[in-house]
Amino acid sequence: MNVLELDDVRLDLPSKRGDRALLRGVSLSLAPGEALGLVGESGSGKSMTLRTVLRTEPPGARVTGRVLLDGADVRGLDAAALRRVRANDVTMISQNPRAALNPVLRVSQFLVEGLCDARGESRDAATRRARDLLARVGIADVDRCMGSYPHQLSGGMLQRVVIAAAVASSPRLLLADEPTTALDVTTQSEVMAILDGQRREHGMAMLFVTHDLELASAVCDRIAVLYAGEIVEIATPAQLHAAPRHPYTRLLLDSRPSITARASELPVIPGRPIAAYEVEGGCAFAARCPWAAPRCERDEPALVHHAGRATRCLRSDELADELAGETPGETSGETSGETTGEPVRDRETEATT
Amino acid sequence: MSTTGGNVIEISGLRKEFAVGRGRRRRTVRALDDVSLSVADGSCLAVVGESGSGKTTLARVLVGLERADAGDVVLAGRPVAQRPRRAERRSRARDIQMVFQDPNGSLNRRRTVEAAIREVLAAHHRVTGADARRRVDELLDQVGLRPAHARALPGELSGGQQQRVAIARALAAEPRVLVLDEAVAALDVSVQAQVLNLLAEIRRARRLTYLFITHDLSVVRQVSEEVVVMRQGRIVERGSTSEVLDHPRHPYTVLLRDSAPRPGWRPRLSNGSDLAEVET
Repeated sequence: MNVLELDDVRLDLPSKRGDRALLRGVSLSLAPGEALGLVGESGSGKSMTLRTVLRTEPPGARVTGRVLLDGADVRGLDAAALRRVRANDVTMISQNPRAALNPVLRVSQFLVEGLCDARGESRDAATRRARDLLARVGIADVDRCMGSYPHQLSGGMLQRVVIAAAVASSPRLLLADEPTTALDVTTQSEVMAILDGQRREHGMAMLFVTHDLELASAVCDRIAVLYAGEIVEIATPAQLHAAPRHPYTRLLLDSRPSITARASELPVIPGRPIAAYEVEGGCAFAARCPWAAPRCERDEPALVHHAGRATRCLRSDELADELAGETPGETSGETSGETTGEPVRDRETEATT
Repeated sequence: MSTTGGNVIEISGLRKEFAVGRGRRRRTVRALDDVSLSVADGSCLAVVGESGSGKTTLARVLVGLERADAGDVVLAGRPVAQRPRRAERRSRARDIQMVFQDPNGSLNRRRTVEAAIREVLAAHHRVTGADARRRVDELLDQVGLRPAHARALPGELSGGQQQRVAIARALAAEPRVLVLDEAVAALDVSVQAQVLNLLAEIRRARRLTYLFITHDLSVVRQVSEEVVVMRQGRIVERGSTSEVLDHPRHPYTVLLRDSAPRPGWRPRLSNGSDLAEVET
């Protein structure tokens, strides 16, 4: 049975101008021990998808669809049951480790308190375990770390403490929301290595939210690309890089500058990412898609599953070869041909309206 | 302007210390430790480093937001006074402008885009009235915005559009040098590519000189000809961008390069010896 299954999850948030859709039907599944990356730009709904799992969505949000943890719908749990799930089965790591720690408690108090309260361990046993956990996340000076307050530790060190606390209960599922975005690149590499190692050691499944496709590719078994509140493509990292099936994935891969080669001009996706509530029928990406046909603006594509992959594009079959083009240069020739000179000028949606 | 073909920025022996902590924990941190560099007219120098490297302090000293403890800054052939008078500060602002990571930090959320740009035009070039109106439209066009955006408040614009306004505002002073401090770091990937292209186009068209501060080596490759790598207030490596990225010599540059996610990359723990070497 899957650890996690999302079935047509929709989320609407009331606002002054009426209800706004943030998720427009997200479906995904996560096998035990599997790592799934949720990749997208701001407003794509990646964090919101994650938050529906532990019911930490913003107050007032209306969620429909099913969120199944080991087959049981979390949306229907009462407060006590939800607390048990959060203590034992699912933990979350957020972007800002400082928000997860109490600033007036030392690290030792934070870790030991968690172990005693949630696991019912004795103080001595909990202290021993806490020290062991810190050593396992690569903290050299465990004594100093245990005796420190959060403000005395660096962001990378704090994120390790948070990871130690998150794996303490050996949860079945780890929710990670941009856990390294606020860290330096060298620290990011270390923290990701630790997170990856701990995940494998404890056999945890992971839902990993990030805007960084390369980072997700390095630590995930499969990747779901989100756009405007829905999944547009699911595939393994190797499949995505070798032959993306959705135009958005292709352009996302191309528009990131490369560390090894300089492009005379970066291929751009015209316009800006739109939010789910801005979609007006048809394919959400059609307005920015260089391959869009008239029917793309009319007909709404469904997420089509085929041979372990899934794609939401009306033209994915006809475009397969073109999208799989090996060199970004070739694609850039075609896509930026019409954008050179007038890169974005006329396409950016009028924000003042 | 006697610097055509020469260096627009010459920095030598720059030193800056900050006192941090209180009581027994009080100590000084050397944010800049004997930093020297020069930037040729019309080129782009990337300054790479992580938090605490001193790269932002360097930029702040350069534009005059911070005073160095020692060292000299020569901007467009003129030595920059450590305690400048008002007129000197203003003339420096016409030479050098800065764009920050968060455009909201440089835009007043209650003033329209037009008002923000007009303020700079009036302060530096006494352009007002219909002339200013025309300049605003020109500047917006250069950064890829429409005339209608002039009436917008910052809050009504997307992050990418806000950053374009911040760039337009910096260009309004008609500077020779633009200091970009992580100016594309907060943008979405697709919007980042647009702004990087825009910055390259503006540099060519206006023959500007860039000091591009970033932590992102892919961005360094894309925008710069030369690069300096900073760590704990010191420049640990410098050279042409392709040389430094393809054949890094300093272990810290190697570590930085190996830490950047890319196809085939795996996160890894830097082992003890690696770090010890880098610490020295």
